[in-house]
Amino acid sequence: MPIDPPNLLALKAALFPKEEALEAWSRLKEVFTIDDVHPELLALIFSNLVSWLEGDNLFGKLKGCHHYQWSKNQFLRYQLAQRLRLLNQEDIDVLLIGDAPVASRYFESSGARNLGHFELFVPREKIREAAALLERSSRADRNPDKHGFSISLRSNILLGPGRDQCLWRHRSRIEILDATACILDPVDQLFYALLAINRNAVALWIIDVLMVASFPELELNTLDQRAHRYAVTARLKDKVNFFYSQFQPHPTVPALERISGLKVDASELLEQCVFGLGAFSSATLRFATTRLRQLKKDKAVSQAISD
Amino acid sequence: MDSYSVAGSHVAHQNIDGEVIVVDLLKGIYFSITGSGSIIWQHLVNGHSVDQIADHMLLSHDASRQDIEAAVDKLAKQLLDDSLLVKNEEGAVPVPFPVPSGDIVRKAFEPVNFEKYTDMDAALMLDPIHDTDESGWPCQAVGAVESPAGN
Repeated sequence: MPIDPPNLLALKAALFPKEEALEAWSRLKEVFTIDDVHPELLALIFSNLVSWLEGDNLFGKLKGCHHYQWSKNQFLRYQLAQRLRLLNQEDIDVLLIGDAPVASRYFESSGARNLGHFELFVPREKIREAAALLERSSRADRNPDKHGFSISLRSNILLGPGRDQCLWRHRSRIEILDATACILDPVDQLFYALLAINRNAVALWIIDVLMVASFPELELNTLDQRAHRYAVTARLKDKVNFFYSQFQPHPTVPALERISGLKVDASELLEQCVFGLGAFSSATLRFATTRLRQLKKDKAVSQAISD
Repeated sequence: MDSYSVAGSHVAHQNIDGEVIVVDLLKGIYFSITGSGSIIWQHLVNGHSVDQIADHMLLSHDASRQDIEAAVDKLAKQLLDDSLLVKNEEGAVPVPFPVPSGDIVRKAFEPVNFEKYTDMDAALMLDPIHDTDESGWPCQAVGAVESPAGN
């Protein structure tokens, strides 16, 4: 689903430097209404333009969207930390994927990005224990879904034997309140952000990709090697091309330029034909429903991949 | 001289362009601190006493020491009453005050504005665009009805 004109203007207001951003915001207000814009973009516009919007007739609404999201995120982080502490106590390593690491590490304000849904990646041999712990805590919580809190558990991300080990190897540690977890390093996070595209919310996907791709600590010289090792080069190029078809960042982003110029190995193409599914699997377990049944299914999928 | 720190990980706070927003995640209460209050908050959570803050702010604000001290003291008491801050044990070392990079530009001492919204569950049910007044969430518009979907 391509980005519509109001959301394209909103993206520019949220991401571009001051002059261009203010111009886009002014144009957006002139032609459209804020009802035409994704609410998350409004919070990000506030975050980008807060110092220059004093006196704007919509300043209060933008500020409200940001503060609302910030407040909600604090509750969600608190709930996440409670779950992580349980896993920490049992020495279960957790790699946070999905929204949480992007929001925590790559956005300046913790109100600018909706935390949404949490995905926890744990070693395969620990997944049953982790599932039992989380399920118990969910049962003990009087209102486990408060503020839209939801959590998924995964035991594999990359398709292909042993590939997930690379993700663990490059991980870095973060603290979520008084709990600890690991997150992907910026290169892996960029790959993940690119490949986890949500076609129904392309504008939000673009923001995530841009925030990670512009991260100063992202090591450009490891991009090529890592993409080949994971056998995701073709898919990454495809996503970057789609990105550029939707949005032209300003200024240009070296990491995306680099991915755009990658050469695809013949072996990767062959592998994709064999697996058919692409490299990032979607063996996700949702906790809200039929946990154990899905757990078995996940194990079966992982087993099938390993075989 | 008493000094303070944030009461625990259940107190989330952030300074956004001169407004400090604070949430007590256990009680579900939202606070907004503006005016000179946002600067005072920062000094308080950095472990400075009311006296130290008054002395420091006197260097850069056009107000009497007495007025500044009264404002700092009042805010510190409010924050303690609402359990957002706790008193430090004796001997706690504060984060040093920032050293000014150039000449000190004196500014007006704005009144401290401390607002409190006690029902966050209800506030988070509001649609931040349509159910709020012009000043934005969490100020509910007259006649707005909370709906579970937030619409």
